[in-house]
Amino acid sequence: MRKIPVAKYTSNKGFSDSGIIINTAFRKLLCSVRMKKYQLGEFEEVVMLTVGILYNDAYGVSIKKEIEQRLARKVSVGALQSALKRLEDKGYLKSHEGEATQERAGRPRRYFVITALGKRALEHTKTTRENLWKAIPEIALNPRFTG
Amino acid sequence: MHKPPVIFMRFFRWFCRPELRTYIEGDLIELYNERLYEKGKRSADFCFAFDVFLLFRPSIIKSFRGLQPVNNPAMIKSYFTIGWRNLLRNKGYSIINIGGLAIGMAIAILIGLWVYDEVSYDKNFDNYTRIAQVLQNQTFDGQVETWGSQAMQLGAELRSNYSNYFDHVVIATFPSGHKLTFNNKTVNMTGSFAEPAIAEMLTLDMVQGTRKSLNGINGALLSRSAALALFGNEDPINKMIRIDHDFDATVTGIYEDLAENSSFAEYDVLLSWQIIGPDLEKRTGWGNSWFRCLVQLRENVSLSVASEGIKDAKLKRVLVEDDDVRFKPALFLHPMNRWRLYSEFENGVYAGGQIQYVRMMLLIGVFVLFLACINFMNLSTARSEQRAKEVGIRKSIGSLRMQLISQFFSESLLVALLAFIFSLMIVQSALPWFNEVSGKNLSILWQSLWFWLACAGFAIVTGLISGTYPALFLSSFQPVKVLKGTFKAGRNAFLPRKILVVVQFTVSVTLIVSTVIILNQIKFAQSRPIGYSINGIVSVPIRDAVVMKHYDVLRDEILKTGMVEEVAATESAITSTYTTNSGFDWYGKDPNRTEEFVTTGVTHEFGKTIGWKMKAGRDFSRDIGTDSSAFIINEAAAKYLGMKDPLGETMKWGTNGEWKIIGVVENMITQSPYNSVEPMIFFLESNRIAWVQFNQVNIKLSPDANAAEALDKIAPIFKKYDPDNAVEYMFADQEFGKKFDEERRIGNLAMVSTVLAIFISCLGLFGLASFVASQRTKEIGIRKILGASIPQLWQLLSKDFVILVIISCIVSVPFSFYFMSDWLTQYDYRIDISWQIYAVAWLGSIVVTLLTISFQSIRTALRNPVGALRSE
Repeated sequence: MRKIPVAKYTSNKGFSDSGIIINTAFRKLLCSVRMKKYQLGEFEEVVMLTVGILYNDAYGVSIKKEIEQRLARKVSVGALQSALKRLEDKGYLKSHEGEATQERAGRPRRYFVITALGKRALEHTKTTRENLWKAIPEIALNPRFTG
Repeated sequence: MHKPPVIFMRFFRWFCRPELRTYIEGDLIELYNERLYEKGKRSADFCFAFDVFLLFRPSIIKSFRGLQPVNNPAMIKSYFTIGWRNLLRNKGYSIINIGGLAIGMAIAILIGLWVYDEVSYDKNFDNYTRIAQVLQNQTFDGQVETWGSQAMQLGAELRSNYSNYFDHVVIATFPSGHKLTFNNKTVNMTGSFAEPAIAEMLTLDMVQGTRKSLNGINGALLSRSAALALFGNEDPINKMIRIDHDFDATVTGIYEDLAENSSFAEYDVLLSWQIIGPDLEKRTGWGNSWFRCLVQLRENVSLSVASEGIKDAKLKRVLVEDDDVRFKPALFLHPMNRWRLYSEFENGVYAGGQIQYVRMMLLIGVFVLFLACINFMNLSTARSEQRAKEVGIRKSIGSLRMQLISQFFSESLLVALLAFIFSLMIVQSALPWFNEVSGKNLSILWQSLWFWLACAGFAIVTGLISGTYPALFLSSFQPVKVLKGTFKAGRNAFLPRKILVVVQFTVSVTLIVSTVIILNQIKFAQSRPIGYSINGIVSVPIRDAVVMKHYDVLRDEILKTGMVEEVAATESAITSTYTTNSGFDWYGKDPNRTEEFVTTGVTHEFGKTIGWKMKAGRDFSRDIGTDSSAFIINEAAAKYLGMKDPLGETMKWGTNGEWKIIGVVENMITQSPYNSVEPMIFFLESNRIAWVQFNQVNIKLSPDANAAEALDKIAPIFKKYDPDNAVEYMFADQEFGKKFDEERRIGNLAMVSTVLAIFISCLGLFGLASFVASQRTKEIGIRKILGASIPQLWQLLSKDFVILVIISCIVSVPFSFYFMSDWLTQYDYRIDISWQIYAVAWLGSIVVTLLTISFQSIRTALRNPVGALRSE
């Protein structure tokens, strides 16, 4: 669902065409301002990597446990689910329905896998990080005090 | 197997996006079971709730799209178009609808403006929340009286011993007219002598000079308009002016006129307390409550604390200095923001005041508007069958109920908006009249953003209130029934409409009864025998004490004009004898009684002038010297004294010696015509009571004399003895008439709102009647063919409505009886609510109803049945 700025519509006739034009233009403008090809937040990145680690076994509870175990941090269901939803909306993850089990009271699992776009996004993030690492002068990380 | 807590589960299911629901639910249950096993139920439940709570975030909550279908401008536009077309198609209904609503809204706006003006009273001073007046409760004869006046000594007392409460303490005289003279030019201005801090307290906006400049020995501050009136274009600063021909004062500052809706609006001159203070200090003590005491609280002192703190300030002092202890004076603070609306006290506690009128006006406004809303509801639902097909078609091509509801809401908003525009026009044209009736100077606040916001909100709320029922009712039709043509609103559909009509007429009938009672009460009080004659009595206020020095000569000269029957001077005006005194003693007096008498000093001919009627004993006589120590009392006083035969008895009056009662007069209404007569004592002007100040010369004109001519002859005589003051007149009958102003104002108000309520209700009834008549056209055609006569048909069509009105009449009885009995209790002299009043009101409303509906029903009954039956 696209959110449309309401103010655009208050007075004009033939609103729909001009509305969409304005709206796309607006989005482009926003994108160009951000100058970002792949958007990936820190937590999103962690989630994606974990989905990768778990490979064919990545669903809500397992991802949560994996992150909690590996990174020693608490992850709430809410934060995780909304991150998964965002990533799926962006096209970095896709999901399919799995089996329903006893301990889930008959509710099916939903498994996630990384898409090709998701892979590129991860790689992009990694290379940018590495480039940044490389760009740090030696002295900045190992300051030596002489004299 | 355990289940997670149900309410949280239900809550989660309610808000979660449907496409995510099962999966997340699965995750939650899986985690729950694990935690249940590891940590126990309580902990698992808590974690579950916490998880659900954290899931409540935008990306998980489902969108509102399904609930909010109408954010589509084209659709809304079409709603308004359809609504507009509907209005145009049924012009009659539209006029009734919009007209009724516009009148209702106009009344509401007018009342809103009035209430706003009342509520914003005294709010225009910077420190209004901290300013208060010191009042005192004193007990007289078991009755607590609340006085606004204080002894001047209180000012110094509060300043020195209670300074932790107050920033400023000001003693001032009550506002009165002062003559200001400069270079032979005299103007009359209202103002007070006041201690200098008053300028700071009222945060006067100084045009010239400073607020401090009232400090001087003879300083005076003038308002801008007073300065303009007295000095014109001259610079007033440091000019010497003469006050009341008694004192000199120097103008030391000019302040901007004070806001009109404040208790100080009339203050055009403030005079330094130093001018009169030192002299008064010698003459007055704690027993002389003659002044006003105003205080400004310190910033962090609460009013109740200070009020409690000063309670005994006076009592402590009078214990040592005076004998006023027996009145048990208790001081308290009356905050400025209550001066206007809560100004009445009964037995020492707040008993309302202007706020009662504010409440009454609000009630009337709400009722009138409510009646107009009911009209709208009734007419819209009555026309439902006409719109049923539209609803059916809209529903079958996919309209949701919400969409239909918003469609009907948008129609009612359209009507409300149109009505609002008309109501503004009505308000604008009715304001001059309204101002005259209410004695205010209101105007539409065209420039105020708040006014427009309030009005917009008000129009929308009206639209929503009146649109709710029709919207829910109309949108509930089932398309199948409607389109098959079998749709007929059943009996139940009429019930709410009937109830609404009953509500409308209950309000109207209650208002009619109230108006009749108010008017009757006024008439009753007006025709109360007053015990003396006020016709042809002219009172001339004495502005200069010098007049009394020449009283006898003056009287002779006035009598010589030949147009005057008698002349007498008095202490108080005849129609408002509010001077009271205590300290009397008599044989057989109950020692615990703290008595109080209305005392009026008069000259010998007073009785003849006003034509009082002696009940026993004799009138004052110039031939009997001892009359200078004689009382004439009224019947109420005779009863109060409790003597069998008061004639010849003596009374002791404090330090003023002994007085002999020589006569008893019939009770006279000299105060409020609604209250019982107070015990009164009349005595002669004499050396024994030199402090009595005579304020009025009362002149009884000959019945055949022309008043204007007589006054022309009398004026020069006064001018001769008091050349400085213009001669003023008051006609006693006019002054007496003013006592009814307040009630007359309420009467007018009640009458106007009654007429409007009836008008609006009848407008609605007219619409309903014409609708019913048009619906039953065919039935009536058939009845006519079968031989029904016109009176029979008229009866058939009118019966239903008349029954409703009769029900309203009965329902209104307890309401009107309760309200009006309550209103009447404030008067000692009052009418009883009789069945005749109800009979008149009922008959009136039934006649009006019949007239309203007969127009329609007779027209329908007269119509040619051929026309009615051929229509298909």
